[in-house]
Amino acid sequence: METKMDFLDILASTLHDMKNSLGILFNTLEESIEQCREKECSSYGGFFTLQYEIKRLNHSMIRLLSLYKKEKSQFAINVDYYPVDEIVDDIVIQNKPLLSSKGIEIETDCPEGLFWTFDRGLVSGVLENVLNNSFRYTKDKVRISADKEGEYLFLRIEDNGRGYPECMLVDDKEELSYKRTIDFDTGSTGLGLYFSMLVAKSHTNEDREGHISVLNGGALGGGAFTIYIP
Amino acid sequence: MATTQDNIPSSQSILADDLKKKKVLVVEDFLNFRLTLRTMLKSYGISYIDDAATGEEAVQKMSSNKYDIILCDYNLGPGKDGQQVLEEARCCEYMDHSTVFIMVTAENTMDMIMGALEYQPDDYLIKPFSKESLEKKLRNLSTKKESLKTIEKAVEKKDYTSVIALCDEQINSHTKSLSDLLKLKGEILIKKQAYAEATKFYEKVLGMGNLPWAMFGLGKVKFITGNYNEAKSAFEKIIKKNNKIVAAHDWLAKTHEKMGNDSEAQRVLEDAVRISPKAILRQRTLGNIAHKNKDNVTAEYSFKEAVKQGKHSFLKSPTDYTCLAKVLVDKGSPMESLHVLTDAGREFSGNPEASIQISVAESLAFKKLNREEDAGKAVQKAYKLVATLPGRLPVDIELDLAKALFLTGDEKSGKKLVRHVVQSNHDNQELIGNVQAIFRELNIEDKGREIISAALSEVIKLNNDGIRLFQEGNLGRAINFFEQAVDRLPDNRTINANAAHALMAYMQKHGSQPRLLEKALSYIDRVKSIDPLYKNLEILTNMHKELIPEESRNGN
Repeated sequence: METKMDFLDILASTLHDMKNSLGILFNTLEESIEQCREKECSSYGGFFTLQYEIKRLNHSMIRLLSLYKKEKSQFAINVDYYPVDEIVDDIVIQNKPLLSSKGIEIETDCPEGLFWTFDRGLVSGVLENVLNNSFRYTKDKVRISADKEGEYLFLRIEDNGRGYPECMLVDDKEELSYKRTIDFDTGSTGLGLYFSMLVAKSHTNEDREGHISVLNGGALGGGAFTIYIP
Repeated sequence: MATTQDNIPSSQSILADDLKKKKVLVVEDFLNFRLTLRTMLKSYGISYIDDAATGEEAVQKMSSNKYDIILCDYNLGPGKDGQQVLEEARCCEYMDHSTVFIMVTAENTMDMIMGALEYQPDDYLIKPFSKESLEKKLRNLSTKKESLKTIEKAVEKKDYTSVIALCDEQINSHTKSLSDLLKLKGEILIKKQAYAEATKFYEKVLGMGNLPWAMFGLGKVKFITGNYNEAKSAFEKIIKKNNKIVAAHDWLAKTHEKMGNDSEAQRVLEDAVRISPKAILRQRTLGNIAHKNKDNVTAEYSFKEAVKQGKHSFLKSPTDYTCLAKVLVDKGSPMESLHVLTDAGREFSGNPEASIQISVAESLAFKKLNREEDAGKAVQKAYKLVATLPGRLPVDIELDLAKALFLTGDEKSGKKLVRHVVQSNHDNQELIGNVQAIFRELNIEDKGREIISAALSEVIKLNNDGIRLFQEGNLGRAINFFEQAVDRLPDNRTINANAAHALMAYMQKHGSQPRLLEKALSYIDRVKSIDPLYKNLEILTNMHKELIPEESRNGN
């Protein structure tokens, strides 16, 4: 009888547990921020750094859980037909308090009445992750735009920061693989990018596949992340 | 055009006060988070907040209170999970279409939607979420429900023609609820039995994107209209894209069964059970098909699961016990079978339909133990109970009983029952085939064929005689004739339908009469309760609707 537990399963269930704690932490912090705002106490600003790090942790865990599922061949997407502007609005609402705390302005550009077929949870996850990074890397502006481009929907996040480092740039439709090694100096594992690619690629329509691009320049002159969904 | 988001759009703040009046139920096993949710809800001005720590408590509260909003965690510890709460609340009508149900989850929603194609919450919320997100979601969903209100009312009235018209109107008006409206329209087209239109509709939707629910709808239509090859390919396509959609497995298995591939059907269900084992109905179906395939090991396991999972569920059924008992008899464990039936007797005491099933199964176990006398007694006990039932006995149970009567030597009663089944379902080829199979199992195939064909020719002659009167224009006599026929065969859908038709044809010629209208409707209702998918149901219903005088139509 095989009684040894699979390490991956242990990891996954531990992650679930950690995510629960993190959820409590996040909501407790929200309450504290609320109370602080009322009392106008001085530690107010520092809380947002805390919130940013909690969100970062949460995104990492979501990514790990998704990769775990991919490893176990349980990764599947759940698509439906959604109004794109509603998704963009949701993301703005989720992230506005954090970004505003540092004086970062969010701008959106998405036509009304545009609907598309995609997995809302996964695509929002990708965008939130990118937006959360903007907290650290942009100067004072973030722009979220979405529209139809040919037979694809694109969702783009641009900022006016220094842009992405050379090694992270991804060109349109480049054959994607997780080839980067972990950079212990910066703590960057490239896992975020890998997850984004995974999400993009799992969206297919007829023979077309989703993809991402990570470029510098864009409308605000900083980094520009785009996910394309067929 | 670029816009800077500064405050909540004005369309939402109009409804700000509305949220305050909502009654909310929070279902969450984790005390800390329950309190957090309460705090959030209070901050929107909501004062009526109830909570439940388990699924059982939630269902109980929903059965006695009407809530506007339900926030339910998916993971609720050892008892019912959030999906089961949702399914039970919908099935038992503890919530109607205006209730907002939000499933709260700790991770991505994929795990939750396994098999949830037919019972989906209004939305999912992934932990952690901010106060603002929840508020926005609640407002959006309340607004959406508000805009769908007139449609839902028409749905509840089963006025499908209006539902379609209202859906089309809103679909063309740039609504955020587009997806919901499209889903609803498809479902209603199927309910309306407008299969050609439904096919076209789903194909059009699939042109907009590869939506599993649209492919599922298309598969269902193909299945209902008997295009099993196309149904099979539709369900297979869904599974290929996302094998977690277990509902597609269920329907694929049904399709295989219709195509005569019982072993393939079993394999598909075994896959589905592996992906989502917590599903009584699926375990039950798998048990049946495995038993049919003489795979007693799988059948025993599945029925045991169904019995176990049913213990605390509203889906608990005596059939799971009796099926398990039958499998155990076939497996050569009649004593264990009797134990199961004793349990069943305790669980379902005071339920005559269950007692009939239990006694029939007991007779099989006694028979296996060569206790002929006990077997006979058990069957007779069941047979006597049939007369005490207020309504019809389901056909499957009727046939089981007939088989047991033959087995224990009471051919006279067995024959009487078989005749009743055959005559009530004379145009149901599949069922007649099942009756034949029973005689084959009993090794009296020739005798069975005789019984069946005698019963059939009687009812066919009866129906044809009535139709002749009708076609000769002798409507008054046709009505009389069919009314008598219905008295003789109250459970025959075709005879009931023809009785309704004769009455309505008469009224088309001589004008409507309230008494006749009522009578016709009662026949139509009978047809509906016997076979909700009866092919001419829609035609009969419309015919009836057109006969209702204009003034009373408005009055009602």
